[in-house]
Amino acid sequence: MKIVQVAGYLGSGKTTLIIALSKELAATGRKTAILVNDVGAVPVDGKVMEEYGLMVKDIGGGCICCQVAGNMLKTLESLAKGPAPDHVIIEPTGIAVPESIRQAVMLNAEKTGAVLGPTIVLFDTTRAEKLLTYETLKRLVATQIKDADIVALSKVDLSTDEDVSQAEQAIRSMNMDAEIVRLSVTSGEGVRLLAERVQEMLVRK
Amino acid sequence: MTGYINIGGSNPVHDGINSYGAAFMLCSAEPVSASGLRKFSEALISGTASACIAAGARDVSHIKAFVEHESGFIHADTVGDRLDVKVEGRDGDPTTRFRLVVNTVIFGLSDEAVREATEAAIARTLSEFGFRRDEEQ
Repeated sequence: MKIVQVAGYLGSGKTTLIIALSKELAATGRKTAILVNDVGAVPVDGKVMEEYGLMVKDIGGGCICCQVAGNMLKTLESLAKGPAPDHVIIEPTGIAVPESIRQAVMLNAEKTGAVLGPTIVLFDTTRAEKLLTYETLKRLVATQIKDADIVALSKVDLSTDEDVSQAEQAIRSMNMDAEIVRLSVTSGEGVRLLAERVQEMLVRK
Repeated sequence: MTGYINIGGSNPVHDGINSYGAAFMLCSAEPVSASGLRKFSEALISGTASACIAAGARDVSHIKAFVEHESGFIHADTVGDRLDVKVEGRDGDPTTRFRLVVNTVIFGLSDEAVREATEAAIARTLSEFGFRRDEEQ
């Protein structure tokens, strides 16, 4: 059971990407489950994904990276014993720190049978200025970006080339090693490439 | 079911981000078409975002909602301050009773201010469309 984490700030397009990515992974014949941690008292994202026919487990009650990591591990354990998917895509809240989730999965790998795969972090190019200006948001976004194996510059169809290039430069200064992919789920740009990269990394890891 | 969730925890990277969620049944005297529910969802999200901005939000981090009934499911959301609302889903038959779920996550407002802005927008939109809360769930 390999774990793919799709992280990124609130509203960056995680749920939309996961729906698209799941279709690509399903086409390879692999069974995929989604583990969703929504911000808010009432879950929305999991319900939306279920509407698209995906196998979804909701984790509520707080942020997965610092408050309800135990619930995530229990859910991974029950997935391993139950439907035993080949892949689990974790969608943390938009304020989660990917490294905390990665640590929790790694430290409990024996119990859950989960193997860490790639971490994708989305960056919303339409809100680059705001996300990189407010110090609090910038700190959170930078923390997320530095944990990424792949950074997906999302909503590029809604941004100018100049804005996307500037966002790319800013991201590169935060993470020298991550692959950067330009993404628009609406137009389809980057979705197939991202799915291919994820599959390559799943084989390697 | 309505309420806050403490997303701050002890993690300093969460500072300044607060959320409020609400879920309840709604009813209408006349059957509401799928396009009516789409317009309602759009107005609700847009109204909530405007209320949060008016209250001093520094960033509309994510406002999302879904409307669900026996034969349909519509979801809507917005981010940022452009008030572009994306509405998608599965249209169903006209209905007089449906479930609404709203989640508002804002940077730069207290949790109480997020609650007030969201509840005010819900009340205004319900009144505009002639819907009423049926029962708390």
